[in-house]
Amino acid sequence: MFMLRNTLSSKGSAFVNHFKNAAKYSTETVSALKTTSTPAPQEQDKLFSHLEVELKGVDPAVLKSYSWFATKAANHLGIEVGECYAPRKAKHDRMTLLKSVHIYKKHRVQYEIRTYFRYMNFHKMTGSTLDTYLEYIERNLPEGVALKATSTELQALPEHLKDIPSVE
Amino acid sequence: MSQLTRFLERNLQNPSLRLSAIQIRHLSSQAEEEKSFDDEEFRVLNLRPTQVQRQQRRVYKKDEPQPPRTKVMPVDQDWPNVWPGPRTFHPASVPLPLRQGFTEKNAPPPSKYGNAELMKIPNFLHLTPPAINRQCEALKKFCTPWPKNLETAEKWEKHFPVEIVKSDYCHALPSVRQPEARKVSLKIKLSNLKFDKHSKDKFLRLVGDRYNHENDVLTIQTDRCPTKKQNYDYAQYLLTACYYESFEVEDWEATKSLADMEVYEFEHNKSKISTEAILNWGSSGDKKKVDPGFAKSVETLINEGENEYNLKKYKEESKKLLGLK
Amino acid sequence: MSLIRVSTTLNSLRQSSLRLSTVISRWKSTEAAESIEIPNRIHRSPTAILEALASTVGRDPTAPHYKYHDDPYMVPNSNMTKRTYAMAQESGRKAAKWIKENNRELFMHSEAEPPIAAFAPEMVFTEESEVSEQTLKDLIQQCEITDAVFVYNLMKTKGIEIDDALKQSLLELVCFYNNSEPISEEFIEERWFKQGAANRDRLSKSWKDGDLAEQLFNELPKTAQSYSALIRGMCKYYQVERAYALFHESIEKQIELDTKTFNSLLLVSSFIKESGEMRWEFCVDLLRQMKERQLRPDIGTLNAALKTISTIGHHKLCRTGAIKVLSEFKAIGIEPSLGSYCYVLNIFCREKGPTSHVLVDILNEIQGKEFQIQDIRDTSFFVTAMEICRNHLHDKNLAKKLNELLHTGKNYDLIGDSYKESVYYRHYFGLLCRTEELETFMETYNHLVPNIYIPEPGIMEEILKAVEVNGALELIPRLWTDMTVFEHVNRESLVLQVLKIMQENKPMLNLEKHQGLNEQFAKIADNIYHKIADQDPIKVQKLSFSGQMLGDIISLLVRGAENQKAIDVFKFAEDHQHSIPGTPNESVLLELVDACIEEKSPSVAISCLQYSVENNMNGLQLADKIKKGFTLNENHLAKVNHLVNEK
Repeated sequence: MFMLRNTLSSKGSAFVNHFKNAAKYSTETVSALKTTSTPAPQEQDKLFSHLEVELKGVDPAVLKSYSWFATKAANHLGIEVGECYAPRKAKHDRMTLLKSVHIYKKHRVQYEIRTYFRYMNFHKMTGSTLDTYLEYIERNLPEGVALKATSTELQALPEHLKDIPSVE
Repeated sequence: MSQLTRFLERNLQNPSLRLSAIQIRHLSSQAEEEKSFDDEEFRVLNLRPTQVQRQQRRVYKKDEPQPPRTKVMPVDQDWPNVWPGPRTFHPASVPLPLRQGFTEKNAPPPSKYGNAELMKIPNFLHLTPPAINRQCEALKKFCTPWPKNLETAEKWEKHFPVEIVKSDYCHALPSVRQPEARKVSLKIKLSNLKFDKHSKDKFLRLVGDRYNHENDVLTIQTDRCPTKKQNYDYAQYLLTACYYESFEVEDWEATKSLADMEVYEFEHNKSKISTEAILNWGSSGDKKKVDPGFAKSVETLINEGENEYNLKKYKEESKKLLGLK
Repeated sequence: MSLIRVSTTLNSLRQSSLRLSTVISRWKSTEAAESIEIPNRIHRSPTAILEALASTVGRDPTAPHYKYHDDPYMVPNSNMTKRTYAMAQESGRKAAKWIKENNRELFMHSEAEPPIAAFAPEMVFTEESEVSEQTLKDLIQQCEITDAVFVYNLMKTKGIEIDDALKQSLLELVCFYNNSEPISEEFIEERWFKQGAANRDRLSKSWKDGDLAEQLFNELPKTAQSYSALIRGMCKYYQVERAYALFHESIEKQIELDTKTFNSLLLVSSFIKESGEMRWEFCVDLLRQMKERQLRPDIGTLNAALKTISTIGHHKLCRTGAIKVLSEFKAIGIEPSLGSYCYVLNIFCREKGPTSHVLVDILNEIQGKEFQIQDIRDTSFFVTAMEICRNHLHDKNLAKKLNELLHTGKNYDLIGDSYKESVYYRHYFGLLCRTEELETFMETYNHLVPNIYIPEPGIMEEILKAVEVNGALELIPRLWTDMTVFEHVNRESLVLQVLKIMQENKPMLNLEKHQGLNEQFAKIADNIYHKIADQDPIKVQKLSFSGQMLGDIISLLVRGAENQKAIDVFKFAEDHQHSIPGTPNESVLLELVDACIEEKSPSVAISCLQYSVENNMNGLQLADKIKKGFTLNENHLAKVNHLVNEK
C-alpha cells in the first residue's frame, strides 16, 4: 500500500477507474485483463535547435531559484544551456481607482501587480529529450509562476519543394 | 458546625477529594441551609443557581503533544524521502533553524514556528541537489542524444532548412485552454528553394512583408485556425501554394509596366535613351551602342544604393563613355 | 488549373510527411561519408515520468502515514487514535458529499476547462426522467447498481423495449453485486479499517432468493451466458444447493459453461459435500468435466481447488491432493499466485499436524518477484506466512526474508487491510523479541514504531519480558513513554509488570547507561500513582491499587530520593488500608523507614511500624531500625515498645 500511496499522482480517479475496470463483469480470462501493449511503430525523433523558456512570476527570488533548478536539471540531462537572463525591471500593471464611494475625484488609490520576467535558452534537443525535460520542469513549477516554452523544430525541405515544378 | 469541620478534615486528608474554595463555601452554605430548614418551615431562596453548573463541567485531560519530528530525525537521513514533493513549509518537519521576517532594531527575526512568511513563499526543499540528481538519473532513459555531425548551425541548416516555431504555455488556472498556443511560425531561407528570375520576383511579390531582405528568411506566421496542427498545415500549404503559383505565368503578367519593375534595368529606362542620345549627339547614321559596363554601373548604382564603390565605378564608366581621362 | 495543381500538391505533401516519419533512421548526405543518425523516438505513456520520479522516493521512518496531518499535535500515536483520525477524515468527506448531493443547485458551476465530471452533481433518476437504452448501458458500464435497477424498472413500466444483450449485462451486474450497492470506492478508509468483517459474513448465505436476478434469468432465453452468470452469482453469495441444481440442469440441457463458472463451483464445493474424501472426489470430478469440455483452467481454478483441499480435515489426504493439483497445474503452465501459496501453507502447516518446512521452499522460489493482485486470497499470504514463522517454525531468518519480499516493488499493496497489517507485524515482533538480540530488535522497533505499527498490549508484555531477561533496564523509561502514548496504561497487567521489573531489578550505578535511572524510575512510579489516584471517580473502567503496587511505588520513590512523595504514598496506603487488597513487602517498609530516617520524621516511621504490626508482619526488624536510626523521645519510645510487645 505504501508505494501505491506514495506516488505523486492523485489517487482519486486513477484508483477508481482501475477498480471499476476490474469489477466489470466479463468473460475475459485473467491474462486478457492485463492490457497487452502493442509495440509502437519505430518513429524518427524530431530535432529542436532551440528552446526558449519565459517565466513570469510575482517574486523574483522564486524565479531565480527555479531557473537555478532548471539549469541544473538541464546540465544533468546533457542539454546545452544558452543564455539565461532576467530584465532588471518588472512590468507594473496599475489600476487607479477612486478612493471614496461618492465624489472626491481628486483622491484616488492605486493598485499594482508586478510581473517579473526571466528567460532561459536551451539548444540542441531531440523530441524525446525536450518532452521529458519540459514535463519535468512543468511538474515542478512553483505557485505563482507561469511558463511559456517556445521551441524551434528543424525539418527537412518537403519533397515537392525540392525541385522546380515541371510544367504540365 | 462540628459536622462541617469533620467533613472538611476528612476531605482535606485525601488529596484527590481536595475541595476548592468555592466548593467549601457551597458545602458550608448547604449545611446552613439544612439547619435553616430545620428551624423554619420556609425554604431558603438560592439566588445563585449558576454556580452549580460551573462545578459540574467535566475537565477533559488532554494528552501532552509529542516533541516535533525534527528531534528524532537522524543527521544522515535521506532528505528526498522526507520531502518528496512541493509542500508548504512545516516547522516541525524541517530540521533547520530558519528565521525570516521583519522585526524592530536589535530583535532577532521571528523563528520558524508560526511564521506566516515562511509558509507563504514557495520553498524548494523538494529540489535539493541530491534530489535533482536522483530524479534526472531516473529520467535519463526517456532522453535521446543529439545526433552527431549536426553540431553547428551551418550543418543543420544544410540538412534541415525549415524551422517551425511553436509555443506551449503552463499556467495554474482551472482552464487548460490557451488561445496563444495556436500560433505557428514557419521560417525558411529562400536560398534553399530553387527559383528562376520570374518565379523569384513573383514569389517575393506574393509573399510581401514576410520576407526579410537582410537575412533572406521567409517567415510565415499563422494563427488563423483554432488549433496548432491546423495552423501548421496551413503554413505548409501557404508555402507550397506560393512556390507553385510563382512558376505559373498568367496572361495579365504581360502587362507589367515600368512602374511595376522591382529592379532597375538599364534597357528599359530613360537612362539608355538619354545616354544614347548623348553618345550619338549630332551624328547621324551609325548609332553607337552604350557600353555594357556603363549600363551595369548605372544599374548597380540605382539598385544597390549609393556607396563609394558604386559611385567610383560610375565615375570611371562615365569617363570612359565620354572619352575623358 | 492552378487550384487542381495546389490540391494535388497538398495530397503529395501529406503522403511525403507520412513517408518521412515511418522510414529510415539513417540519412546519408551527398558529401563524403557523413551520415546523420537520428535516434528513434522513445514512446512513453502519459504517466511514465511520474512513475519514474516516484520510484526515486523511499520511505521516511519518522513521518506518519501521509493521510494524517503532519503536525505534532495531530499525529495519531495509538491504534485507537489512528482509526479515529482516519475515519474522522473520511466522515468529513462523506459529509461534504452529502452536502453536495442535497444542495445541487449550489454546485452547478464548473470553471475547469475541460470540465471535470466528478465535480458535477450526480444524475438522479426519478419517475419522470427520460431514459433510454443508452442510459441503461452507461449505468451498467459504470457499475451503478441502484440506478441501473431503477432505470430498468422505469423502462419496464414505460414499456420501452430492452434487448437481450442489455438484459444479459444487467443480469451479470446484479449477480455480481447481489443487487445491493457496495461501499463506494471513494471511501478507502472504510474499506481499509473493515477489521475482518468480511470474514464474519463469509459463511452465511446472503443471496437474495426470488429477487431481480432470478426474474431476469427467467425472462431471458436460457443461454450459456445467463446460466454462467446466475451460477456464479449464487456461488459467490453461498446459495449453494440451488447453484448446484442449476449446474445439473445446464449439464442436462448440454449448455456450455465456461471456466469461471466451474471455478466458482469449486470454491463452494466444501459446502456441497460433507466429508473430506467426498470433497476431493467432487473436485476431481469437476476438473475432469472441465477437461471433457476442453475448457482451459486458469489461476482461479488452481486457487479454488486448493481452497477445497484446505477444508479437508484428514491431513494426509489433503497433502497428497495438494501436491497432485500443484504439479498438474505447473505442467499446464499456470504459475501459482500468492493465494495458492497461502492455501498450501494452510494445508501443510497445521497446528495439530507435523511441522513442515514448505515455507522455506516457497520463499526460495518467489524471492525477489513482484506480484499483482490476482485473487482475493492473495492478501492473506503475508499474514499466514508470518504466523507460521512465529508459531510453527520459530525461524527469524525466514521471517526476515519474508519481510524483504513484502518490501520489494509493489508487494506492499498485497498486505490487505489494516487488520491484516497489524496482525502481520504483531507476529513479526513477537518472533523477533524472543529470538533476536535486544539491540537489533530495538533498531527494528525504532524503525517501525509508532508510524507503521503500534504494538498491542500483548506484544508489549513480551517486549518487557525480553528487556527483563536481558537486563536492559535503560530501555524501561523509553518503553514506558511509549506505553503512555499508545494508551496501554489502562491495562493493569502491563502496569504491574512494569512496576515489578523496576522494583526487582535495581540499576547498577557503576554502569554508565544506568546513570540517572533511579530518578527516572521514581518519576515513572510517581506518574503511575497520580494517574490512578487522580482518576475520575465516575469512570467505569478504572484501575485500582493493590498493596503490592503501592509497595513497589514506595520503594521506587525511595530509591529515587523522592522521600516526601514516598511518605505521601504510604500515608495514602495507610488511610485506605481497608479498601486496598494486599500489603507491601517487608523490604519495602524497611526502605521506607530508611527514608523516614533521612527525612527525620519519626512519627511516620512509627506509623510504619504500626501498619506492619496491624497487618501481621514481622515488626521487630523495623523496631530495631527505628530505635537505631532515631533519637526518640519518651512518647515515641513508649509507643514503639508497646507496638512490638503487643505481639
